[in-house]
Amino acid sequence: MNNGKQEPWLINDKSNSPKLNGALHFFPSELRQVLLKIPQDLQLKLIEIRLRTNQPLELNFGSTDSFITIKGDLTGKTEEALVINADTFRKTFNAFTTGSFYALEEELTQGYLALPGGHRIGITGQVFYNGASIRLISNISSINFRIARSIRGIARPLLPYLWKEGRFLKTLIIGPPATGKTTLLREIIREISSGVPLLGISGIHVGLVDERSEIAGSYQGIPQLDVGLRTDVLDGCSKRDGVYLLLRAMNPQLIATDEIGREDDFRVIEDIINAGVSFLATAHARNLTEAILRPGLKKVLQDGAVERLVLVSNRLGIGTVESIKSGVSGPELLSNGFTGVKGCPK
Amino acid sequence: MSKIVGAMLLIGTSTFIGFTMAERLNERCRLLRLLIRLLNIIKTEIGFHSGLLAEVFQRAAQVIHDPKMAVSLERIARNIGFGSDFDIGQLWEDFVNNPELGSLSKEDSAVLKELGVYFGSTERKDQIERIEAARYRLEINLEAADVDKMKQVRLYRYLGFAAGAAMVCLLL
Repeated sequence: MNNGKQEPWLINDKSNSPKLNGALHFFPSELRQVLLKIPQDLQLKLIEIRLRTNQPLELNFGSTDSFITIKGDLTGKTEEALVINADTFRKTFNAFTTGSFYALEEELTQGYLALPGGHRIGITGQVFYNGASIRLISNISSINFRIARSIRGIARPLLPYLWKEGRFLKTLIIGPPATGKTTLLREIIREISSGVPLLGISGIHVGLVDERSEIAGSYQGIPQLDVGLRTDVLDGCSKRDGVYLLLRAMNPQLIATDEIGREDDFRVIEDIINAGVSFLATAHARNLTEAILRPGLKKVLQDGAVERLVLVSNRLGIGTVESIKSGVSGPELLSNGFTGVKGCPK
Repeated sequence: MSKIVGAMLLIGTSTFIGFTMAERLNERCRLLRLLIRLLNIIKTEIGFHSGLLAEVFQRAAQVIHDPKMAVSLERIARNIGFGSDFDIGQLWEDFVNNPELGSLSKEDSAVLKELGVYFGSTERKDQIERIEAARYRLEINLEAADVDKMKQVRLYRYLGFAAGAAMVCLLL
């Protein structure tokens, strides 16, 4: 289970503990009792809890995953693992949704559901169409419970590279899935929005387009995770609509969004730049070469729109910053890789 | 003297039984009207306000204007929540089995219990259709109950007195 890899962002941030207990509060008592038996240090590393009907309960710790026995011991053996039967699955889904499927059906057609505290569940099941669009996802068979965590301070060492002459530089964070891009993005937003006097950063107005409620973890429109004092959140809104709404109504100095890469995302970035506003976004790609090969990113990267490229991985743990580049063809400002929290000020 | 007291007690008791049975018919009609109103409230909350189930029952408790039923509905609302082990079907069944709804017929209770199994767990359109169907069946039951009441309330009251009087005559 433990691969010996040090994950200092978790060890440093003891405030994660109550957050996890908050997450387990959503589970029905029979599962909660089992999950609470996981040792405290491993509880802190828990990222996802996956349930599938008639399959073992799976725990994801970022770089590793495991099953769990009824006694709360972690195991890799399926025959020892706690299996989620149909009744337990139904009770769990009931506990996550307060038995109110009818009230959440529209949200569930997106494939996920935001919960109080910023946690969220992803679902799969039987999909029903109405014309070309999904009308309903019913008969849910899999749930992925994602635990929301703010890892405060993870972005602090990056900030001097992203802030220049009183403004935030247009920044793109690139990394493979599950490397902490969104966590890093959230922390940059929080710091820039609230201001860091120590680094000469005054707080600026940030407009956040949170298409999948992942960054601010909004529940009923209210951010559950700290995204700073001057951040206005458009929750569940598409990037295209969100950017126009923010530009028209909120006069932001920085617009942030998650996971760009579709063909038309280039136009969205172009509109932000044309409005004289800076941007901060993330994109899925293992490295810069792979990013440039993606049509949606190629235009953004080759247009010279990006002033800072931050490449992340989980080499030294989630949120490892591998390098910071000054644009695509510019010099590498930092290249030896570090985990953001290590030694950073709180 | 003791015979007169005994006769009066017998007539009094049988009259009381007659009145109780008549009152039960009245109470059934009142409860059916109240439950139809409750289903209308729930249908509106689910159909138009889209609150979570706990909010639906909380709201229903506030607007039902029946203190006893309001307490039962609040109890349901309190038991529903994130991470709760509640089973809405069971909570609803407990509500239906409450002695305060004891004047309902078996058919009335069956309609309500059948609805409880599906509460919250299907899409909104289906929820509304099921509530509509249950309400329709309760309305039919209410019509029949009203006819019963018209026919039988007086009958039970007179019958109670008459049965008591007849027994007194026989015993004397």
